[in-house]
Amino acid sequence: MTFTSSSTVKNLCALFPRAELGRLMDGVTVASIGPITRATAAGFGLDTHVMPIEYTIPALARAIAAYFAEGRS
Amino acid sequence: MEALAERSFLRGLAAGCHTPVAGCARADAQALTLTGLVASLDGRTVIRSAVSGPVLGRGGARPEARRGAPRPGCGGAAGGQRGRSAMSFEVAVARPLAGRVILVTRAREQAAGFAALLEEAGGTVMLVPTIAIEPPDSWEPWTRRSLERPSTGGPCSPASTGSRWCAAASPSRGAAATSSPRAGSRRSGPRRPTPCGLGPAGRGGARGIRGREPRRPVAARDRARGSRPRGAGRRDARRARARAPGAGRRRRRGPGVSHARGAGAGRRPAAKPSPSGGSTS
Repeated sequence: MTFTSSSTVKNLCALFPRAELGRLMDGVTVASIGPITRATAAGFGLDTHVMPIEYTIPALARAIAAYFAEGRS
Repeated sequence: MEALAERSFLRGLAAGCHTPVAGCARADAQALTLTGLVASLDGRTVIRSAVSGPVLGRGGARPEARRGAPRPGCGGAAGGQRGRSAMSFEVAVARPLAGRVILVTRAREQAAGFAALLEEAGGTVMLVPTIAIEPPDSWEPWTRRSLERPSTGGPCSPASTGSRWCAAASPSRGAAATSSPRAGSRRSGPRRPTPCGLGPAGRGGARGIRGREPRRPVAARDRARGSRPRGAGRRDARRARARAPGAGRRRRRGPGVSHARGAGAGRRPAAKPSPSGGSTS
């Protein structure tokens, strides 16, 4: 699941009841574009697993690829 | 076309006379479908898979194969040694996201570039936009604010950018598109910002910027006609004068001069006895 802004986190999380969100997102890898978005996701109880050093879309895509290239899931 | 796809498939898997690798391509007007098969030498294990995509012309098979579903035979074939090493190399290095489904929550208009990057890395992308970018219900607050309160010290105020007006682009980008009044020539004319509002995707649906020509802000329209922005009254004229080259030069001579002038007008008799006193502040 990729979040490219805080708004995407808020709007997605608004679609589900909190408990159901936790169940659905269990085991899902979360990628946030930057620390603000990560903090917003954390506010909804979502841990961010992937975050690029540079807060851009290409960097996020690279970070996701690198994360899975290292064999994590 | 079909033969070309089949040959490049076999070449891609380093297939030879001794490896049971087969490719079968079928093309119609819209799409090319390539079915691939890899079998173990004893024939007990057979892996079959298919990809399809739009016909891109010569050389189009490879990018398509890289993009769509996993490449035929990517699931760890028990086939020939050469084919196997070539595949595992590709899966590990070029397609780290193979077999992964990645959800992209960006606005639909913005998602394409991100999705392309993820697909390039082998991922299967699902677009679930949770933001829709669309024109605001009314432009009134934008045009009024940019014309009437131009120096309120915001990130795009004239004080910080030298611009006469500004328009917020997508707030999700956190940036504002600004236009410099000096860049008004036809060649390097002001870049037209596309102001927009934000709302949950469910509200506007397909009503995106793309589907509709955004109305140009008042300032841009008026500048295009060669006149001053509507509502630009005396205050704007004053500001323009202050920005004029002459005004700058006068100011650069320093406050001492203008002060001396002001003082001289009021107290000329007093200044006469010591003419040097007035201009040395």
